[in-house]
Amino acid sequence: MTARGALAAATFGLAFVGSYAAMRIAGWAAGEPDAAQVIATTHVPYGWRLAVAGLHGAVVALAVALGADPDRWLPRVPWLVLAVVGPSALAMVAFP
Amino acid sequence: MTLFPLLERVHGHVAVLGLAVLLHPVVTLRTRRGRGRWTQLSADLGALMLTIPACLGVAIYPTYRASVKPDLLLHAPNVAAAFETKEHLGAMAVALAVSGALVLRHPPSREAAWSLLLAAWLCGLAAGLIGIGVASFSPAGS
Repeated sequence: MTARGALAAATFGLAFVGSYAAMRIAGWAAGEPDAAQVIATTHVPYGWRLAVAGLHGAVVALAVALGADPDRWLPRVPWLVLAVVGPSALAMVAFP
Repeated sequence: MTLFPLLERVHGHVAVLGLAVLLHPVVTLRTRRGRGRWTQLSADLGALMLTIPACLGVAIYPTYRASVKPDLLLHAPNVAAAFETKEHLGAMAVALAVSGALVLRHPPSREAAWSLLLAAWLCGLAAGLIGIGVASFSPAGS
C-alpha cells in the first residue's frame, strides 16, 4: 500500500469516529425523545448514524488522500487518534 | 429455538474471539522490530472478526428493539443505556480496526497502525464488557 493509501485509511477511521460521535451528541442536544416513551419509529437512528459516518469518513479520506502530504501527517496519526478517539469514546459513555 | 438467541450468542462469541485475535498485532507491533507476516494476518483477521459480529448485531437489532429493549427500559433503564453505549463503542471499534489493518499494509506507518489498532481494541474491550453485562442481565430469548 502507498503512503497516501495508508493516510486515507487512517483518515477514514478517525473521520468515522469523530462524525459518529458528533452526530450522537447533536442528536442528544436536539432533544431526541426519551426512548422509553417511543413505541414505534419509522427509522433507526443508529443505522443512519453508521451510514452517514461511513460516508463522511469516505469523503474526508478521499480529500486527504488527494490533498495532504502523507510524510507530514502519517507520523501525527497516533496523536490524532488520541485527540479524536479519546474524547469521542468518553462522549459515548456520557451520551448513551 | 428461535434464530435470535443463536445469532446473539454467535455475535458475542465471535466478537470476543476477534478481540483476542486483534490483541496479537497490538502487542507484537510494540515488542518486535519488524512487521511479521503473522502480524498483518492477525490484524486482518481481527478486523474481519469484529466486522462480522457488527453486521450480525445490525441484523438482530430490530428483534432486540421489539422484544428485549422494552423490558430493559422498564426494569433496568441503566442497562438499556449501557447497551446504547456498547453500540457506539462497537461501531467505533470496527472502523478503527479496519483502518488500522489497512494502514499496517504500509510498513513505515507501523506506529500509526498500532495506535489505530490499540484504540480499536480498547473500544472493543469496553463494548464487549458492556455486552457481557447486558447479556447476563437479560438472556436472549427471555
